[in-house]
Amino acid sequence: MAESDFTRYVEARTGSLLRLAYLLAGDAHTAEDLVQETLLRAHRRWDRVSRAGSPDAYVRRILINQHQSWRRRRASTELAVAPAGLPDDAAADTQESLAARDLAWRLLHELPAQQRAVLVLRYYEDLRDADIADVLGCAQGTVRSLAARAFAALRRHPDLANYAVPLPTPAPLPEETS
Amino acid sequence: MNRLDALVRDTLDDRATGAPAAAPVISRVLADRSRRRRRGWLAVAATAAVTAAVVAVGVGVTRGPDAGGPAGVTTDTTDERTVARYSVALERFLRTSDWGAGGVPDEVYVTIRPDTHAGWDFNGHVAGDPIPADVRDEISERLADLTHLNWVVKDPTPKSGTTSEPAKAAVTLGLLADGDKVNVSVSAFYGFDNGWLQTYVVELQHGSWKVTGTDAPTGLT
Repeated sequence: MAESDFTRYVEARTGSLLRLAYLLAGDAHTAEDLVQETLLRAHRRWDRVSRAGSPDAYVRRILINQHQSWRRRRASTELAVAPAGLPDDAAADTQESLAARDLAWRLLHELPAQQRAVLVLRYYEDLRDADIADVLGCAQGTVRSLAARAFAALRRHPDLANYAVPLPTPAPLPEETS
Repeated sequence: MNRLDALVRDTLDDRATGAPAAAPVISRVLADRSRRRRRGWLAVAATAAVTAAVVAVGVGVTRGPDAGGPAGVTTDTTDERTVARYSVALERFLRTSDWGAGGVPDEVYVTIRPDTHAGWDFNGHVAGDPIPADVRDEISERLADLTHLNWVVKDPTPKSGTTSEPAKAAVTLGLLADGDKVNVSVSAFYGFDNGWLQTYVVELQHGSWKVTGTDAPTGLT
């Protein structure tokens, strides 16, 4: 096993994994626990992880599974949504948009774990649906279905009902003729 | 009109700034990694010492004090092909089955004897030999991130009636044929009356086993 490879990976990627874990779990202490356990599990099978085309995909998969197991073990649906540090330009935001983000953050954590994972991987990690499917171990169609159900759930809240749901990329329009 | 996906993206970008710092986690992971490695070496050393003692005693008993030559060759009894084929099929089955809102159960019971029809009672079904312990252990290890496999002699799930016990998931595997392209059946019972069966086509491709499709259950063809 290339221990130095593992060390380099941990040093380079822990920050990113913590942000992902934090967005999934909603609180800092759980995020730390999830990432620590994820990396130690990855270490146990680092030979296999490092042989994989993308160690990130493999490690993200472990993290997502860890998070889902944690959610199942958690008896209550109590939310631990600690206030995240607001960005420096928060003052420039309208109260309305801040309130919408607060609401969206709370609602995101009421979604089933897989639906939230799809949104986080798609809109924070900027993964393509094919990569998300690989991380979650499901078909691309399932990813799209989970995303659609997540958006439908968010829009059920009256304060978000007027938000437009994202549509699939439309086919290019034919060129205009004069 | 505002877009919901833009709101989600902005929300996640904002909130990610609240993630904990990386340095303490890095330190803990690297320190814990070193401790586990040392424990691992101690365990290996202890095992080696015990093995050497047992071999020495065995040689002494069977050959007498003057016997010479090699003490014997150990054989790896783990059937890698069996492990790989069952693991990929079982993982696909667990991930894609509808377990309800909770997702894959934390614990899944797997009967140690595979069965001609993965336990389904049509056209008669015959149980095979128990899956060897080392094969079971390796399958459990490969699926450890997904669920805990609890290998049992008998399916513990109630098939009728009522009970206050939480629902248990019990899985039975099908028998394996030889070859680089095989059908692997997997069935599950969950709760009182939920049961389903799937047969996967598992193929050796470029040195690794993959699920390449599904097929009709053996007993129905």
